[in-house]
Amino acid sequence: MTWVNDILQGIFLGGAYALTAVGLSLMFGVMRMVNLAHGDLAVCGTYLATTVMAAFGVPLWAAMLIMVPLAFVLGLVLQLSLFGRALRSGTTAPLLVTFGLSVMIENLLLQVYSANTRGVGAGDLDVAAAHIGALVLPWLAMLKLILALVVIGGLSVLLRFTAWGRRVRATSDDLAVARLQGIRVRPLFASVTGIAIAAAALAGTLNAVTTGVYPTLGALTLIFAFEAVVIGGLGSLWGTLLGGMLLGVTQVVVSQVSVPYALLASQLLFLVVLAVRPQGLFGTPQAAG
Amino acid sequence: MSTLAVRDLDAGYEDFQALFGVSLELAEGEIVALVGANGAGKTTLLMTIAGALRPWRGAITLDGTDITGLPDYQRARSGVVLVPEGRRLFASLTAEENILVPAGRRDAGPWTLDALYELFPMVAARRSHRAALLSGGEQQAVAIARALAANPRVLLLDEVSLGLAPAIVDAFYRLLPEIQAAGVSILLVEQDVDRALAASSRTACLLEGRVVMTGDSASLDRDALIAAYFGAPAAPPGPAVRT
Repeated sequence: MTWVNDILQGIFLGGAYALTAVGLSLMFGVMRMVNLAHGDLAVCGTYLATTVMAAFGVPLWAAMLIMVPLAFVLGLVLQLSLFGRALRSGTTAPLLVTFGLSVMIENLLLQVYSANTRGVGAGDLDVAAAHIGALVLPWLAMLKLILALVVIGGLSVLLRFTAWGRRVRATSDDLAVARLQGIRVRPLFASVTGIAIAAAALAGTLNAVTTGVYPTLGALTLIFAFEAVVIGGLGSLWGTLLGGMLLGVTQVVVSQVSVPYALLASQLLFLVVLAVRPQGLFGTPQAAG
Repeated sequence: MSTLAVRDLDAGYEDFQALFGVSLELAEGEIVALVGANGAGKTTLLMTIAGALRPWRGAITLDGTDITGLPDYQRARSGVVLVPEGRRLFASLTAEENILVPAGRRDAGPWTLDALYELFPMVAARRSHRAALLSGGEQQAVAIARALAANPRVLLLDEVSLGLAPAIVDAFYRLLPEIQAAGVSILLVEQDVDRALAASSRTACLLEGRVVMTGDSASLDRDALIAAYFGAPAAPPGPAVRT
């Protein structure tokens, strides 16, 4: 029964990874753009939430109601001012630009907030849990998993059934022809990046309730998000969910045997997937090329 | 006033010039055929009119309005729509989704989804299939339907017959008068000179980026046209107007 519980905890952890990674997956799927500042932007959202909490004395959920729309707007502005330009200048430019942005954000956060780890207070949400027999159901972890399902499911529905989604998929298939059919790519991509950054900021903030937040947390966030995306298959949202869960389950199950090897095991899983199935579990070989 | 007018167009790719002083006019509901050998600049001309390429010099007007500076997505919305060479459907979308993509003049003309399905019954039958899984003829039908869905004033058809069985190509050409009757002007690129002459009211021949011959398709000297097509030095004189 402890194994069942371990796997359950792994799935919960996977939900957190998936929620963190879904924006990265979306941006790559639609624009073929790897956003190396993804983790740092998530961390920005967390600091923003803590700042709002401190400034207005509001609880975390209220701060997030303000922060997540702001993160969406930040995504819009970044896409319109920076990423779009980078995308139009070739495949290397987005990598360089987002790497530069990542370095800038980390140093800016160090200046403003110092290197100390900040707690993100959420009452006793980080320790509260329900119990069913031997199964532990931590509320925060369940919340993250549910949010991951809602965000990925919601995005899938939007992409599949709305005019916006149709335009996004068409543009992802053939950008030049999409423009020739009258699609304005700039605002479309801006909306995609807005959603991606909002989801990242949401995930980052909820993760920070457990771990606290520090300026260089973004790099670690990016690595796990990136691994979830690659394991699941580049550009596949449900693949990203599965990738996150495989990472989470591997980590939790191995940690029962040896805690130091838990992180190593999830990196090994990543390497094995890269070696055996480089396009990822849900990816097509073409999408990986 | 012509629906589409192209004047003194120079265009190309980076430092390669593909078009030299090309001029062309389309009246409302007129079909003009553009013939020429591979590399003559036919696709470049269509891409430039559609807005995918910025001309180096010259002007493009639609119903008298200069659209030379309009970006590609505005071009489609203003009524100039390209059916690209090789169809280039959105592969992961269904046939119907492809047709629903175009933005702009969706309500400004007769081409509703129902009207398009009536024009292309084979598309209606396969509407929920992914475009990538359709046959070449079905894909071409979807590509034309997608373009018409924007209710274009000018339809640019780039090698509709490419890679299709002659019977299917015949079927497409039989539909052109119906599209034309709705007031759509059509500029079509065609490798097959006889088909081009039969389908159009006027034909223009491009050679190495220049219009070397234009004339009424009914009275154009076929031999002179063929000579112009291949750039033979001594084309026999005919009723065609050499420019």
